[in-house]
Amino acid sequence: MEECAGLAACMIGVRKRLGGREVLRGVSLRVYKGTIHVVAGLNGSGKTTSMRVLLGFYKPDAGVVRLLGVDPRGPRRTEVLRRVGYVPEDAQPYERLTGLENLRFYARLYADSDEEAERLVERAARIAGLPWEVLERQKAGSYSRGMRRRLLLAAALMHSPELLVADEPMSGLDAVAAFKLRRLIKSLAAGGSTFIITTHDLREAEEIADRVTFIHRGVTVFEGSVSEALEAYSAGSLEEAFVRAVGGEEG
Amino acid sequence: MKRARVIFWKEVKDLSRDYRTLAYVVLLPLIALPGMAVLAGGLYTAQQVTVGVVDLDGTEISRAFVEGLVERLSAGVQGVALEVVVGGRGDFTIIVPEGFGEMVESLDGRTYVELSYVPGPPVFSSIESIVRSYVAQFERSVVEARVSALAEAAGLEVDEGGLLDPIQVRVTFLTPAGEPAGGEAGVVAFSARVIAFSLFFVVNPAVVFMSDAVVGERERRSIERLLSAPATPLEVLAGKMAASMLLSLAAAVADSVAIVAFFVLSGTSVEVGAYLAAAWALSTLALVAFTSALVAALSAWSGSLRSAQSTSFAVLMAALAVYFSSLVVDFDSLPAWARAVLLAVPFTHASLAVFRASYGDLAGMALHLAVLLAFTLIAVVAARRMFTPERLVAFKG
Repeated sequence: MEECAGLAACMIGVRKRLGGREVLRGVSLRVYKGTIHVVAGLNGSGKTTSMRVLLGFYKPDAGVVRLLGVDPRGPRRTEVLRRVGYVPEDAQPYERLTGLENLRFYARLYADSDEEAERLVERAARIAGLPWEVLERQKAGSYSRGMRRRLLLAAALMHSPELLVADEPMSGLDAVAAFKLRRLIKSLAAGGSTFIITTHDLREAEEIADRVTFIHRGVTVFEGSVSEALEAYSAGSLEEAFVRAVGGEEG
Repeated sequence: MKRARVIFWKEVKDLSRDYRTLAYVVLLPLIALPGMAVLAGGLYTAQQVTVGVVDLDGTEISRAFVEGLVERLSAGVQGVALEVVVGGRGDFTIIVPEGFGEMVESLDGRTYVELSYVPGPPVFSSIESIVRSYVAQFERSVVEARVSALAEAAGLEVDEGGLLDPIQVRVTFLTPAGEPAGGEAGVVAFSARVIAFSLFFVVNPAVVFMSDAVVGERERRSIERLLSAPATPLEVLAGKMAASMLLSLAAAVADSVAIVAFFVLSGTSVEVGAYLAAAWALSTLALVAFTSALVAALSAWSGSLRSAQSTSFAVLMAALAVYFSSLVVDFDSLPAWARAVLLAVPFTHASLAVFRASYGDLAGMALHLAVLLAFTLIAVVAARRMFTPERLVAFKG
């Protein structure tokens, strides 16, 4: 698919019906390598379904999907997933395992040797920013919402993925944790990593986004850089541009 | 399959730290079943029962009758100590009527012993059995004396044993193939029923662990992250099934021991020979594999927590129906349609493998285990087909 060549992630004209309802009615998404791409939409607009289609969980009824140039439901699925990190919306760590056991489990799924796995765990522990003693001794079930989120982000970033997909990653984080996470994302993007972040918080999006896609009622209504969005909707902020894009509707 | 191994160990750790579930499937039966037997037995023997024996006749014969009866009752009944009161009434009263001696001594006199009690308590039925057995023994000596007197009057020589018991009953236990089965066959056959019944306690932990491994992970919202890791759905399924099977086997062993302990402590003879033990072990293994695969398929297929719980409950009930019937129903005596229906239920083959082994029919045992294995393979294929990211992710907790 020529249109998707060279892109980190690509969806063209994707349609998907779930439970008798057409949730996606024409979603397109072009994510350039090394950018932070924000997918914004109201609640129920199809953001999460789009990410699930992109990662190959859902088979699209129509359209083209490429993840790092590969069909995510094709024979190279496992191979491409090694190069991707994913933090689903509302995901939880294994509550009966300690933080460290959670990280070790994911590290062993990505690593080829025990030594490499341990290196990934150490890296993840640094990213999570949680005290080693807490990671080692306390079960993840006892962690706060913010700590759980950081643990999952660390698990998704431990293998230095080329592309990180995070579905509402800031949700539930306090101001400090959200600030630290934005800083981390920016620094990793500066190092060449690509991020797809879904959110309905446009102020937050404007702080980090290079490019944005607005999805409304299962359709992509805008795709471009932040400045293009402001220009297209004659808006002073991304939030204003989004409100105009969706016609002032609520989710 | 390196990733399946990683998932396996994660699952073992995760499932084995669910202490409440472990207590429910392992500790509870292990403690509760033998405990129940000991408690029920202890409470049974702790009963205080007074047996009153009233002799309204007062003759030498009635006194001898009462003396023997009191001696028999004083030994107690099934561990329950009886307080025997001669000359007064009790919870259970035995009355020897007036004229008892006279009737017994005459050549064709007929008398009775009156028993009175409130029906219901099993111990009273046991006392009645003891009294009936004592009366039969006493009666026999009376009849023998009468026969001797008649024979003497007629000038005949009579074998009293032959005269009184002209027809005896002899029992030969057979295998289904018609071969003699030996005197212990009755105990072995009952043991097979107990073991077949205990198979329910194999199914239960497999249902609990496997549904937690799939539905639990979906409900706790960790499955989507797992499915985005570089492991194939087959590796995820294999890791989860292997872990669930390991824990289920451990629980099954504990639970099966507990149920046998229950019967043994309740006073039932249980004898497990080499064939029966082998059939038990193999059936348990096959049953755990089958149940795990079936529940994996059903859990992945279920669109919501409630439907997953309902299907797991249906599996348990099907197993319970089959294994509870094993205690009282003889499969081979059922009509053809009922056998056909039961043979379509995989659980049946585990119990039939045990029954065939108890008869020494190893080919029959192997056949039923092979059928169960075939069902297991079908369930594994179904689980693999159901175990798709699309199904697993689209779940209404």
